[in-house]
Amino acid sequence: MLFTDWIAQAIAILPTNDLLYQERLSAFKKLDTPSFIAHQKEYYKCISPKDILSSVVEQSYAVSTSDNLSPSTLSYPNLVEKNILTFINGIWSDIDSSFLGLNTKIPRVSLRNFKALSVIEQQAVLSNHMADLRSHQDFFTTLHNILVQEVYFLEIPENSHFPDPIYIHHIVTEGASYLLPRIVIKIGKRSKVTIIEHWHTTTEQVSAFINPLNHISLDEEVSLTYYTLHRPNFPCNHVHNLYCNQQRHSHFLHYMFSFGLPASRINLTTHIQGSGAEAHLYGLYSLSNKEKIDHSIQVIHSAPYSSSKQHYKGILGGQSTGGFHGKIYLTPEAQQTNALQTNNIMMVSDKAYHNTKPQLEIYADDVKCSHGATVGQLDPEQLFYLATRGIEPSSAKRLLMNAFGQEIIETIPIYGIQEYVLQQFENQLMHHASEE
Amino acid sequence: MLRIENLHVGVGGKKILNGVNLQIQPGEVHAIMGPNGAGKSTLAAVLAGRSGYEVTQGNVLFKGEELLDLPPEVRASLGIFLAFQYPVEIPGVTTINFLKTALNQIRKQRSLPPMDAVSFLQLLKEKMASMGIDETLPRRSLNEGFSGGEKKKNEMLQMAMLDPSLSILDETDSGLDIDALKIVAQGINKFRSNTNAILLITHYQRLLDYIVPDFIHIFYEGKIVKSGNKVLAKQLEQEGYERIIAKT
Repeated sequence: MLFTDWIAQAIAILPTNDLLYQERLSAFKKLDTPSFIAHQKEYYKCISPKDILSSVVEQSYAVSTSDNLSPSTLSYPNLVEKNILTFINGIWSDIDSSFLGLNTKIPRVSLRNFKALSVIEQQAVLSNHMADLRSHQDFFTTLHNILVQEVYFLEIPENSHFPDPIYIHHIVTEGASYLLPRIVIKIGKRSKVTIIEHWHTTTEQVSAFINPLNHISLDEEVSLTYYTLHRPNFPCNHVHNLYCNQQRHSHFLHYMFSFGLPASRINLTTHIQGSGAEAHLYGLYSLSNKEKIDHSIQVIHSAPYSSSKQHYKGILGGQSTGGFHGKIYLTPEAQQTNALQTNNIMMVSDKAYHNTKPQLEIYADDVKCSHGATVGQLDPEQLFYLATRGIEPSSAKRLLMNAFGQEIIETIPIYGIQEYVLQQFENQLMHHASEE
Repeated sequence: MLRIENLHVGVGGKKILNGVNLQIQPGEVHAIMGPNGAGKSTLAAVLAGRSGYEVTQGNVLFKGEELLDLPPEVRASLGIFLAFQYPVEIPGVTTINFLKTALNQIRKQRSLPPMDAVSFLQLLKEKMASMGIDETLPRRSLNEGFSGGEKKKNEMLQMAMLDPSLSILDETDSGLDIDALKIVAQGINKFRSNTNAILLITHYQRLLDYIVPDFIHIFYEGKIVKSGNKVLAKQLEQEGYERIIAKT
């Protein structure tokens, strides 16, 4: 099926009587503009939207439905015991005991379906939390705006301090084909929160295309640590969209770990709108075989005295392809900004490919901005040194790759997550070490 | 234990070793001395298995095996240890993790079970104490940001932990102040036994004030030109390389 036919058919089955309809139509108009499509080539160097969508458009678009799962089929990493929000195929489910209906059992947290909000609340969500997505120039964000399925509104009031993370557990079943969930997260002043977004599939045969979009608003002095994790051997193509707005003195720390996803793309934007706010974005990826990954990371500073740091590291083996496009954008208001971006790549195969593109757009004159990109291989001197101590080449390689990734992993504030990530990372390194 | 016969080695067509002959028995300490560029470090590198060298003639037997056919990690498990002149820095790999991996891989090659954590730590503590090593060192990245003395002490710690039968110490004395030199020499003397052998490679005689070798070999233009006992070192100190070499 042609993409244009596919999307026309998709729009035809979407509801026309809700407030999202206008959003869908304006996004569709944008997608229908030749200049918009031409513009995407610049931003999709590594994986084209066509590659990602080729299998999606083979079948007609269908709105995702939930699935009945028994709680015994769920498995969590050991670190999570409570504060669990479960979504099956993007639809909230009461399968887990942490919740009773849509009233969360997490004290002070509310999760509501957009449909359940009053019209006034819906309008508030649209104008306060989705307006900035309208102008977003990314293909999949725009596609998400057209086809968005369930929208949830997660509210955490002021002064909330959670000792345990809030765990957003996404389960994808074999019945799913194309998932477009959206969670709008609003965190009130001075709250301190950790959110883990964790993607699971019921089997390794699930072949859905996953295109979630989460929108986060951090009010003044909020501190949020947000993890995007996948189960080991996650079998689905994934385009992950995350958009964050930061007010004065807020602190946003994000981690993205991608080990062995067939094809994935990360669109992450954080917009620092208040002075003194900070964003720290970290990522570690490791690819083998013919896996592909692409990052589009944007930090926009439009207030003075703010700082940001991006640090992404990748190990590429097999015939894998990776891309990193990191942007720092400073408006004229963003004086005294301190912004840093680093991308380090280790190539462990001659047939792997990586494209790194740092982009700094600076319209303020009293700022400190820097970027650094490195591409390297395993150091033969280090390998020889380890060999003279009796360490076999495969172990030596693993030791060195592990050390490369540790720089990101050891910054994770929660020990349990460090362990979980490290284990996945080490399993992935077995692939590389056995490759020649 | 080690028998080097008529060893000729080149790099990129340039000849560096021109017929080295050397035999080392268990319990012996040999010192190889010679001017810069004589090929001393090349000999050490070839014995440890560094790639990039072309052996054009001769052979090396270690415990009856053809050493030159074996990859470096197998040589290590057979009992060869090279202390590097410039130990390599490996950021992100802690010294303790490295030591444990190395020790257990060597034990595996020798069909021994891995050492349990308690015994390992006990052994490490004991060896560190004898070398006067700071107790924070095992938690630091391997050689990263180590002082010259710490790097050389760390090499000696690895030797003590891995317990090789032939240790080749390549300019272990270089970059050490007199106090560090004494400690390193003490460590070597303590390690010395009648079952292992040591090959010291050095430019200066000063290390031999603390470690008394059984044999001293003068290395020049890629081969041993003169051998003797500790008296030779004194003679060398007084006369210099040129006169000794001229006499041969």
